[in-house]
Amino acid sequence: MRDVTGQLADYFDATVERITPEDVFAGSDGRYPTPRLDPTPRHRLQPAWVVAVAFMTTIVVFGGSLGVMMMFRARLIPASSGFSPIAASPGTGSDTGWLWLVVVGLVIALLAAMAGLIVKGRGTGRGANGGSTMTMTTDKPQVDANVQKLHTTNRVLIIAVVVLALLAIGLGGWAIYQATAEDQVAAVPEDVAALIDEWQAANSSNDGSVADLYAIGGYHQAGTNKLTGEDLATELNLPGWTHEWTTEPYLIVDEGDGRYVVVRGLELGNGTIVSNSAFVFEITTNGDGQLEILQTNWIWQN
Amino acid sequence: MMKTTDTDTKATQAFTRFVKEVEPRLSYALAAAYGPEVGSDVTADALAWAWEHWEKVQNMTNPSGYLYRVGQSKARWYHRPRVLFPQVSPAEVSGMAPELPEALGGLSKHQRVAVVLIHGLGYSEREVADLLGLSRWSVRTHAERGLGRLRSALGVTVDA
Repeated sequence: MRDVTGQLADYFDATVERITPEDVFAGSDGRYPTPRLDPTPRHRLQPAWVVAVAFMTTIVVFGGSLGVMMMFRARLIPASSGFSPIAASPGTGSDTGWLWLVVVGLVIALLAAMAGLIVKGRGTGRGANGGSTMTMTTDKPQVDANVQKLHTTNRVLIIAVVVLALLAIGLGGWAIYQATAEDQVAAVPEDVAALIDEWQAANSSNDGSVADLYAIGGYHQAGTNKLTGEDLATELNLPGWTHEWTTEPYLIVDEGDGRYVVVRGLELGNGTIVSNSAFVFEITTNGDGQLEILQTNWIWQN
Repeated sequence: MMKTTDTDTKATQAFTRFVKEVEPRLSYALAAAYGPEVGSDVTADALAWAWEHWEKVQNMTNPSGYLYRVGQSKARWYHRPRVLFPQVSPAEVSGMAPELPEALGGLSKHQRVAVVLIHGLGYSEREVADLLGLSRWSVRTHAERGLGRLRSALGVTVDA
């Protein structure tokens, strides 16, 4: 058998396609190469694939991380961990986890799309069919069609980037609002807070005057019973029991029609038993514009 | 206008001479590194880049080495074929061992370039060292190891 050296020379002479200066000049417009067409298109990095893969990878990675975090959180905070203040703002907390996931995915997809555009832009110099060759094709109509196709692809990609950017910005803003709103508590109107203070003072006086703060037909819900008048006052201030607010009042409902629902943490005790509970006020505005209590409800552990 | 045309003509002539001098080494080196298919494409890309930046390239001390690295960068954008070195028919290359393409794929990139340029095409160790940006001793080592592995893979023995 021939030695390797001779075989190597023959093999590369037979397989390597040589480049001439004319090839280089033919493929350049002045000093800048124009798109060259490849009769055998080669698989190349497509921006759409990049976007899809980046988005899916982000979803999987961040989704998995989020799931693990939630599992750990569930272990760290057992259900019987005791009293904790009521979260006042609905639709926050873990509900927004998926939203962050989508926002991060969109942002990464956006970056990937921009990278895709750059890749596509670079690809312009290699040929509209996705590759290059030293064999220059100068069929003008074919060049025009391919360049036109490239321009159309770029236009679609640019529109996709803009749409993704707007989506990312919008969802990002919403997510930030939701996340920051988690710690915000809607302020209880002063007159409502004053009525609750008045209710507390009247209840502590133990003279039955607390019932006067209720509207006609107003009641205190005790189990399945609706208590009014003297029964209401007795129920609310049993002898030997103390009542201490444990939280600020949280405004749950304020729809602008003069009706409010407010909840406040309350500690109930008799010296030996201490019970953490919540007290719910439904307050309405009567025809004279005065605030009255429509109902109260004491949620505590029997 | 005449002056510009005259300058362009001189540049074209100088670049033509440059391509004729540099292209063979560059083509074979990049073909050895990335296979004949991608190698030819990236050689074309590297030379197109050289023409685009001719004022810069013509003043370089080692333009072939620089263009080899340009070719390496360009190669990253190409999809690598599954078979780096395709088979050729016996009619094209007579007396070639059919195992040669696969054996070439088993060498490292530096070994392939060194053994092909030095032992296959007769370039000097200095020329290959300039191209790859390595020392002559490294190139010699790559070439010897590559040749030894090729001979071993093809079962070729050489008389001492």
